[in-house]
Amino acid sequence: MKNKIRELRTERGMTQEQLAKAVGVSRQSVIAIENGKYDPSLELAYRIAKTFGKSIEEIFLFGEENR
Amino acid sequence: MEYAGLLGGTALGLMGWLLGRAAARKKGGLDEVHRHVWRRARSASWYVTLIAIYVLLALGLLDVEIGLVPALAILMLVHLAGWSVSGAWFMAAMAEGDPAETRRTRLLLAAFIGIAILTGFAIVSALTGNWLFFLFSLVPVFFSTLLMHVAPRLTNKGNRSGT
Repeated sequence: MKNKIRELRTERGMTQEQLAKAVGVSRQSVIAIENGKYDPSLELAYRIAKTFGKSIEEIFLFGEENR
Repeated sequence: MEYAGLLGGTALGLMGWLLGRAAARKKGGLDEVHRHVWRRARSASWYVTLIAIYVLLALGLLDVEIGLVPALAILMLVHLAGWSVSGAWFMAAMAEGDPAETRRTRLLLAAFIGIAILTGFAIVSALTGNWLFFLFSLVPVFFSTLLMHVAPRLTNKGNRSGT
């Protein structure tokens, strides 16, 4: 699943480390999610969305390839 | 001496595991990605163990006497090594953004697996005095090399399942 995390993070001048602390995961997990190698659980997706002040569907893009 | 090895090895292993977890917890490393990766690693380690069981059975058919305790020790070592190496492999695949770095990590891990297998079989060969054992190590080395080529594709497919 594609996502806009890197884009939103850099817009806000956040480092991966800062985002990781804000959502309570490791920096490696942020890298994995940003690169689309891991799709987060609903709970983690919600925490990420809340950190950026957006809804989940504004950050995670569910496309046809995910069906 | 055997008891010292059995209990000491377990104690050291547990201590290392607990210290590792404590260090990871400080960095927020015990998160859902960590759980997901190590669950997959546990699953992968059973495939490695199955191959080891198959090799040991094949050796039994070829009249290579190993004994129950050494065979169980080999299986335990293979299982634990398979778990830790595949965990490190999957974690590297998850965290690395740089493809060159990921390739390097995989190459290092594959080299580690190959050397570990060869060393293990060389030890058993020396203990049993049967050098055919060392020859048979080529089979798992071949499988691990094959896995090195197949695993990246499987990793990319499998990593996407979140919870």
